[in-house]
Amino acid sequence: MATVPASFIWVIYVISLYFVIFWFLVLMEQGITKEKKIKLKKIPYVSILIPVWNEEKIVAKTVNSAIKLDYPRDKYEIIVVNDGSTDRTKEIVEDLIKKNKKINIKLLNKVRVKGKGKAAPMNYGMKFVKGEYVVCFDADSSVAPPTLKQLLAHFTDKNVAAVLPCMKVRKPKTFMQKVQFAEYLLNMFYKKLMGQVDCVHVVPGAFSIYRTNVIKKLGGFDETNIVEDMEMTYRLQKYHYKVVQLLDVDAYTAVPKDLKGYYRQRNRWLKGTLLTTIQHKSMLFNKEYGDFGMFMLPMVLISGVLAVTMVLATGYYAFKPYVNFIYDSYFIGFDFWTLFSKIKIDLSLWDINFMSLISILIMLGLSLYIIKRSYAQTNEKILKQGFISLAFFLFIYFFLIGITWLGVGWDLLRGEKTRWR
Amino acid sequence: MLDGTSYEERKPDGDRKTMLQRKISKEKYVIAAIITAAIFFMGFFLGLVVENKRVDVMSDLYQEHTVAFSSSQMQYEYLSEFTSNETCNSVFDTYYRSLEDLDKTQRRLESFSKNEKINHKQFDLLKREYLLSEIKFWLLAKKIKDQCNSDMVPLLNFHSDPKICPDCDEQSFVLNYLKKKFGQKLLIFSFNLKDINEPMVNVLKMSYNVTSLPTLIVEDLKFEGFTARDELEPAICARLTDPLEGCPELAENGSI
Repeated sequence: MATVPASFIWVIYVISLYFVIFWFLVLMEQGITKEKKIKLKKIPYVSILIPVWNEEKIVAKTVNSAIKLDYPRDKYEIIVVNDGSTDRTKEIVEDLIKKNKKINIKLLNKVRVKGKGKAAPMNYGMKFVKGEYVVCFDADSSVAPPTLKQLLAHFTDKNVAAVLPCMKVRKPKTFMQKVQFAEYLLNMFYKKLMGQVDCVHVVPGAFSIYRTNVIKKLGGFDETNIVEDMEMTYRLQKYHYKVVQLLDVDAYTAVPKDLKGYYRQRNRWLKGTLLTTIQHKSMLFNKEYGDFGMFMLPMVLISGVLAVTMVLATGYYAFKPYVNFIYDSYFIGFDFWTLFSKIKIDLSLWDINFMSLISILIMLGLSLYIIKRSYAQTNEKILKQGFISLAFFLFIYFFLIGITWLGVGWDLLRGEKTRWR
Repeated sequence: MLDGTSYEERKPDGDRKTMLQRKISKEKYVIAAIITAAIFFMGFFLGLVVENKRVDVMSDLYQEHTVAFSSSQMQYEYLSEFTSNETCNSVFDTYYRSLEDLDKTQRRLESFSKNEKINHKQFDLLKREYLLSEIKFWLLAKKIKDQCNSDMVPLLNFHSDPKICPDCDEQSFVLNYLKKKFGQKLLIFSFNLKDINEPMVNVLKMSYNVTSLPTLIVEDLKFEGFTARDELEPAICARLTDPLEGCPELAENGSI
């Protein structure tokens, strides 16, 4: 007879399998649409918006990355929005302006409103934007010079409101970063598939390009939201704009180097995902939004529930035997010597739980195939960051997501204010 | 235009017809559901095939145990006919090996029947057969002990499923430990009383007046409810002619 946690695990398995198979079908039907090397016909004016807050260590690198872009100098401007930095950020940017007189760099100094995130400086900067297109360029990211032209070429249709590069982890050093390296590639691959059926739900800030007038028409970023980029994407979807995800144009971003930083970042993302989906619940199961409303948004919510249940159920299974063992050992006076010195190994083929085994193998096979494809499509070598980080990502990583979701649930139950950082 | 301080949702002007045309991939939802169900049921049916195979394996093993038991019994009868203490040891050895095999199979049977889905009847029948074997082995153990003066203690363990008897798992853990410690000197006969409609078990229960679970019988002693090592160990030690090194020192004419 199946116990309660066991049936939970089966439910999780079947639902996750369903999600994976859906995207697998999208992949099988459409493949990965080839990104034609479109030449940019007309050179539009572009504004590069860099919101900064106490980024003295990296701001120069980011601004320099924008300066080095392969784009006519009179056709783009760099707008650094200093959101009340208390360190040397301002001086560093002023220095860069002096050194690069031929480039149009603006520094906007804004008073920081406590507790508000990136949306406020972005909206402030938007008021000064002159470009037909605006690039969101977070201080923790960088790009190669041709990126801008490559991305702009994909605004082929007037419905295209945003074009996203393939976001990769910049120079992963720590173990956590290597694990996230794998995660980002897989996510980008999925996002590419999502883009093909108009289901992208987040436009990240690592050099994503928006059509300026669309953002203005939509009223700018939501300053009360902790994931303003995701919220903006939900609204782009709400008004039926197209979001294009690319896999062959890269942007690099810095990711948290340890568990603590990881948890803080993901807690905000997941909390934001939940709150934003609730905020736009009118789109949920709404046929007008096609697959985005009928499949993508439910999947986003259910994945959270699945992650939490998975952690609780596996946690129960993983720890219960040990807890029982320690408890039981009390009644034998903790005589482990007798217990372990006389272990008899008695194995039989028929002891194997074939149903679980085959389920695990099928899921593992699908995951490996998709990981292999995602590395191939993003031109990365599969074992570039080592075998262990990939194995960790494959087998243990979901635990971190689940624990973070648990933390989100806990925070929300306690009514903790959701802050940006 | 942007006011820069707060966001206010605005509808962009534009005709729905010129906007992105949405699709609902209904056929993909259905196909994905079919494939998922197919995979799940494939695993499920494989599980059933394996379960049937398990019943076969258990039945085959039962035959083996029956033959092994007959051999032990024959040896014992031969022994009682022509008493000779040299053969005693070899008879006990054969007997002990068959009992160990039986234990192993029985344990496996318990775990298989926990996961069974369709072969409820077969498993119940098997459990009944194995239960009877256990009783046969126990009776033979008593006879061999009388005949050969073997230095061992038979222990009866009346138990059931954790749902009915929450302490039974802990009791098995303790018994398993004692078995490891005493080896050939402790013979444990376990009777799972769950759903068993076997008259012989009722006879046993009545003769030992078993009213609660778990109940342990160590020769003339009865332990009701969960019993830890520190109570059981001295009782077993006291009933051995040549106690183990690890046995607690016994007081002369100890009451246990």
